Amino acid sequence: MIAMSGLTKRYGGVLAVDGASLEIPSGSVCGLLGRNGAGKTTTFKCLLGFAHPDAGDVRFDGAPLSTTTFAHIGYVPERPALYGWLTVDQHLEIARRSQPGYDPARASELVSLFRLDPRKKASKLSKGQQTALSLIFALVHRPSILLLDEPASGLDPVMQRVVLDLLIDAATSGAAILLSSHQIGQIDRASDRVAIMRDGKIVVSGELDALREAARIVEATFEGAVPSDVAAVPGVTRVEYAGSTVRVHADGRADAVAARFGAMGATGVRVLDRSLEDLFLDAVGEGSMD
Amino acid sequence: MQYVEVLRVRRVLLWFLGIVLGMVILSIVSTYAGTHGDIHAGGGTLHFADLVLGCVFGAWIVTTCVAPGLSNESALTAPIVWTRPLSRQQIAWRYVAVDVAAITLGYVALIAVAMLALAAFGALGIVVTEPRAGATFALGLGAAMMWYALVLLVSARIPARGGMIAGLSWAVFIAIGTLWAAPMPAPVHAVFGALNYLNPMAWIGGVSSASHHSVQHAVELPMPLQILGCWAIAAVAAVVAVRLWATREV
Repeated sequence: MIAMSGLTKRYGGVLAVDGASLEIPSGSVCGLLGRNGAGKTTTFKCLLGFAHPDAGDVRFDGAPLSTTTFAHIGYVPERPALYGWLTVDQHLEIARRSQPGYDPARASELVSLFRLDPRKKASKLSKGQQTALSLIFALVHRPSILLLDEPASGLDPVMQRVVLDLLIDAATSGAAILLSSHQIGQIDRASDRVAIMRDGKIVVSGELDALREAARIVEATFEGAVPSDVAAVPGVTRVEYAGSTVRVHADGRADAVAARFGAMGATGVRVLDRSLEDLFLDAVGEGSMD
Repeated sequence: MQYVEVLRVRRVLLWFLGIVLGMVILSIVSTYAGTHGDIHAGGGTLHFADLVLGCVFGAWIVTTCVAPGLSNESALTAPIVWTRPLSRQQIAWRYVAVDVAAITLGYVALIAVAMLALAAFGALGIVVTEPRAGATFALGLGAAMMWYALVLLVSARIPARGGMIAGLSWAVFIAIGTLWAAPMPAPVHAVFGALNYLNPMAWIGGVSSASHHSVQHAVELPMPLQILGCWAIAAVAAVVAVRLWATREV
């Protein structure tokens, strides 16, 4: 399990992470979303001890970060951090010498899966191949905690799918995974939880299905004017009027709200599901109900 | 984790020794070609301690080539280096151990190459060995370690600038020594005199058997104190550097 509470990191006058709290249980993939500069990478740095938090607590499987924790952590940075002058094989040798849980069979399997030439120097690999090597480096000791900052950037769509499958497999085997990506489709496919950051704060977090359920919209059309008391219906949190049509957020009670609108004389009532992208745009303040 | 540093210093040593050997072979070939094989060692003697002292220049080259390694790790490859199940201090000291071994090896190898060159020129007989050669080697190596540790210290908190700092260190140390020797008002001279205590070049300046007491040297201490001084500065600088490196943010 990955747990952070009240995580705060300030760089000079800039509050990069502002009291972020999140729990990711074992066997779960949590997608971390946010616009550029929202604080995602700084959160990863604080989790790994690369940056020293000004406040807050980080725990892995209940214990604070220590040297031994790294035997169970796999990390893929935003930009591949590789030794350009070393070959793929030499990178694996680093992992073999430094990770007690290094699994040579897993290493071979992953190198084949990503179709890397073991004798090729990292500087000669394409961006996608470098990302793949970073992923192999992170996965080769079968870690129980995975921290992945844009792990599929530069990969072609086929390899992106391979990566997501690997993550889902790892979660099925009990790993706790924090996955950051700008590609909402990837998060939607791989994650069962999501956290959305804005200005250093986690503004939305929870199980993806529950968040979707809570974000459903009810659209009702009335003959003539919309009744003035629609905003007072229990569960309605936000109302938009468009002539004789009203669209409301239903706070997880969409079906009940729809039934109530029907009772109020609506001639047509629809319950609209919302995509993760809609949730994200709402959370970062760029969304609308259209 | 020191595997990467082993590969890095191996590359440095191979290049360094390759160039040195190449130069020696070239000079042997050109000399033999010019004299049609008629080589005679000149008269006089060469103190082995002076040869050891001269070779410290090579150790400094190796030093400034290997010193940036640790600084670059924290800046460019921290996601690899700092996610191993080893404390950062342990990682840093392993790197330092590899670098110290490489500098020592480079120094010894250069002395060996110099002896080989003398042998090739038939001049091995002019070399006079004496007991102070061991102390000179300890001092030369100490000066190299001091240089290494000072570069480590300055670059510990400056990301990815280890190479630049190592290169600049040559200019800085030469400048300090030159300015100290230049005619200056007494207070300025005193400042450069003090700075010279952090200048590895100054610590070996007065050791040569050819030096005379009439010449003022930047650091004039009895030999054992001079050796101790070099190594002590190196040790303190390395301890502080490792601590700074291990606690820095990336």
